[in-house]
Amino acid sequence: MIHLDYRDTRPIYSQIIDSVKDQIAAGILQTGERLPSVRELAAQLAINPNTIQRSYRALESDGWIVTVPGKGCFVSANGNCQEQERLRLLDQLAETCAALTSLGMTREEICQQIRKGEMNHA
Amino acid sequence: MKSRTLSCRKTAFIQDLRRFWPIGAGYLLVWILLQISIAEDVGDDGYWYAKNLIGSIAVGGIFNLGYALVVAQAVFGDLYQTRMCNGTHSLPLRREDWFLAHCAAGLIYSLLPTACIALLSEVLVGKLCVFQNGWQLPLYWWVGLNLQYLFFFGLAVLCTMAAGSRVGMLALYGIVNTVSLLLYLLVDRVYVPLLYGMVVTSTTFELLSPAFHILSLAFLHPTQIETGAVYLNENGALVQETINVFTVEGADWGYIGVLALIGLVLTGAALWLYRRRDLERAGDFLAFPRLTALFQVVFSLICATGCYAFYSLFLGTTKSAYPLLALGLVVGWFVGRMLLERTTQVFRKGNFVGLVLLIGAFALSLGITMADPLNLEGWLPVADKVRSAELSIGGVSNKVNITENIDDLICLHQIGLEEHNPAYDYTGLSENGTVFARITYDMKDGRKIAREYYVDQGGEGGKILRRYGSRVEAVFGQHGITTAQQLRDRIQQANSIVLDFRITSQAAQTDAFRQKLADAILADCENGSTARSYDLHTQELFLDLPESYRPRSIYLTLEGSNYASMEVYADCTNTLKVLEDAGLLEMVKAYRQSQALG
Amino acid sequence: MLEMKNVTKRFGTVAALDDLTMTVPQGGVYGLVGPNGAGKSTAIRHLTGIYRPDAGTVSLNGQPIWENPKMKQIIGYIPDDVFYFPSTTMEDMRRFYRGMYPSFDDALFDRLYDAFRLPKKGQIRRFSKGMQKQAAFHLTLAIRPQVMILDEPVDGLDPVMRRQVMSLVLSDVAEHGTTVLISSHNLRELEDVCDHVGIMDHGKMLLERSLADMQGSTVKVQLVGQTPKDLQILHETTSGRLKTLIVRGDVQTVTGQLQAAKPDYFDVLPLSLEEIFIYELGGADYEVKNIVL
Repeated sequence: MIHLDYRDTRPIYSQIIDSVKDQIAAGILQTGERLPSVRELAAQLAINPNTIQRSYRALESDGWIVTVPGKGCFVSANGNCQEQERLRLLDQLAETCAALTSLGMTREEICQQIRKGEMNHA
Repeated sequence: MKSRTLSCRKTAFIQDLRRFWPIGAGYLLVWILLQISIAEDVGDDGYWYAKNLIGSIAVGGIFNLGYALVVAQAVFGDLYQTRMCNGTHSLPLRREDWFLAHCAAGLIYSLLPTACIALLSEVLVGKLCVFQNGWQLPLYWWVGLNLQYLFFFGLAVLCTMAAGSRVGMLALYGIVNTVSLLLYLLVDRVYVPLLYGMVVTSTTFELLSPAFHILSLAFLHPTQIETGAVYLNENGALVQETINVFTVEGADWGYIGVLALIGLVLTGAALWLYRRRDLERAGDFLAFPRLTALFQVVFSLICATGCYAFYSLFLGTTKSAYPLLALGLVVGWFVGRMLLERTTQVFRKGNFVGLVLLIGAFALSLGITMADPLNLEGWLPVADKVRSAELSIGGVSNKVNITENIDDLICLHQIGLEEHNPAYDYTGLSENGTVFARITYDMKDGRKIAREYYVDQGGEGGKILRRYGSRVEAVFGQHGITTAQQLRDRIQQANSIVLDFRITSQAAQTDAFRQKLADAILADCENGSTARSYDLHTQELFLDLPESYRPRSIYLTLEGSNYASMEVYADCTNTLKVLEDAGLLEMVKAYRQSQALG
Repeated sequence: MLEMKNVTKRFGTVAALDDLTMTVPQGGVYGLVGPNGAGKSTAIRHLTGIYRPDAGTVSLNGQPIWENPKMKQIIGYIPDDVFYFPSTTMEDMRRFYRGMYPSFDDALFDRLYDAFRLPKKGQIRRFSKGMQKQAAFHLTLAIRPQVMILDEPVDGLDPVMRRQVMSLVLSDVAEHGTTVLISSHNLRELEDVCDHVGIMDHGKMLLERSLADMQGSTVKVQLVGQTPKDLQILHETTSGRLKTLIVRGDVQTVTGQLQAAKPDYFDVLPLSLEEIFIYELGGADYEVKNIVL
């Protein structure tokens, strides 16, 4: 289920793209699974279908999904995408670390935080 | 796409019928009630039923005036509310489609209820079965009413298009329907008194006020015609067989026919206005800014006339009331402005300018009238340019038609001008005082010109008047008798001849007596003695009566269905002789004596 | 495609529309925004064939709309002030609309009763204002119009109904390529549903662009420190040490420019429609004035 956060200031089409990518990465959307059609999603979320169309096209050109004419959009079995996603998230991590450093945190303090987080998750 | 337009028009048309059917039902109810009351009044009398039915065609003018207003405001009312106006005009219909649908519905709202009533009437007419062509009556009724409706509806629709709100439409409709009469009132009460002797007849003005004119029309005449067969009545007398038919008064139908055509033209004009209308005017008083100036001027004049007419009702037409006109103009101007702007804050400099111009123009028109540059006041006709003339003495009912001796009348006319007597109440024909005389010239070039003067009876003018006032048509005109032969016939046909309201005798009823009486009256008319009144009766016969019981004149009446009467004056020597010979004067004296003694 | 070209409309001496040019592309959702009195409703009344312009043309797919039933019958209009005939019920209005619009879908009308839950028999004038709005939607959607023109459509509807209504409209857009024009003040909601936006003020079109372009071409920068000289700054406000700049350019380019300048702190954010609106109309006329009472 694609979820939108109304308080998020990012444009909707990028929210959709990120939401789909996150769900694929988390395994909620399996390879070969059919994504909701543009019409279904527009009705469900009450947002512009052209925006959804843009998002789907962007996802397709990045290789995350494939469109089968007459049938719909399906998650592609592209392992490369997962790699790209990992790189993207790593970039995000680097950015966050840089920001924390500029606030005065040391590398050790940051690692401590990461370990704490891991333990909470486990 | 034609069927699409048709479907849309049909939908709009049906919607109008669905929305406003109570109005049509109400109208139907009103006519049903009227019909019931007529039927109750006449019972089994088919003749009277027919007469009343015919009469209701004339009354239909007033009904249609009001009903057309209501229907037009109903079907076109959406134009007056922004919300409805915008909503309906966003629908896939052209303006003329709306217009046609609304007009069609408007027509149905008259055609259908009246058709129901006509059918009802057919049933009644059939039952009562009095007229030979009676079955045509309800048809004529239906046609007559709906021809009138065509006019009033066309007018109402035009007013609907010109106005922006219901009040505006009402104002326009009211003004247009009464403007002719108001104009007549204005001319008659304000302008005409400025010229001595001028008369303006109301006929043209009445023709231009259809609602009022229709009231006076006859449309159909119930009459009896002879079939040519004869039969014996219960007295054993041979009587002509007659049947009841009704005849058609063509001129009246012509009038409403023309009205109906005018109504169609007005409807066309309304469509033209509709096409040019700005819908954002919904709610404004008028929908076309260019009409505002005209409206203001007309409204001001109406108020001025109204003020003045109101005043003159109580105090008569006097020149001192003229300032009231100015007051009326001012009030009308600002009230008109308030209606147009829908606010009371209208006392701005800009608005005063127009008012000053209006008052100036009005005053100027009054001034020009008084100055009389065309010398209308002093106009005298040339005898050979006059085809005939009509002289009215004392009142409109005493009319004498003159084709020779026009010079006499012109002489009278001149005397009247010279004497320049002010208007007094009619005191009657006698030796003294002034009497009202109206001369209407029928000119050879087709014009009809009238003048009226108050002529001194003691002078030359009085002599001329008495000469003409003694004529048969002057004395008996109000009873429909205009020739000597008609008088003779009336006297012969009268049920009885009565003097002093109660005196009659067998001797007075014989044919011989009646013939002598007719001769005598005609002789008196010839020598001009039947036109002098209110002289104390100096007849010897009545001298021994106390003064208050002496007759000033003796009232002679011809009783019967064709009633007629005259006053026998002291100068009517021939008539008095005949009455005396028959012993009737003695009876009058005897009666009065008994009254005097109590 | 709905078009208004150089349209001028005067009411008395006031020009409600002043040389207005608007293009509503086919198959999308166009948001018409502007302050009160900008002329939005006036423009809409031209598009629905109610008003006739003093100058300029108003057309749908190249054909004029004025007095043209062929065009009007494919336009569904919901005014801000809903209209209905007095004493009519939903079923009465259905009959009326069925007669007026050739594309009226009876089956759809029946199904919509589930969505709107309006009574079939009650008089519409007795409905609450919100329900009357719903009734308007119920009828207009059943027309299956190719173009929908909505003037303040969700004004007066509760949040659930808002979602429902917009969901139906957008589903129509997705399935049939309906062109929709919405005029509204609620920019946050408009942002979700529009793909094109037109900003009006004083009868003129100030800005007309696809949302994608707009969001991509202008960004908000929060900055502490020296402002880079190569930034295209449209607007600037300062609060203490923090500068808020509205900058022309897309996120990546501007980020690059800022990174090169190495300020103490910076953040590049996409602009919301509301912010675009305020800044486009901003400055002289439309500031929120700091009135001290």
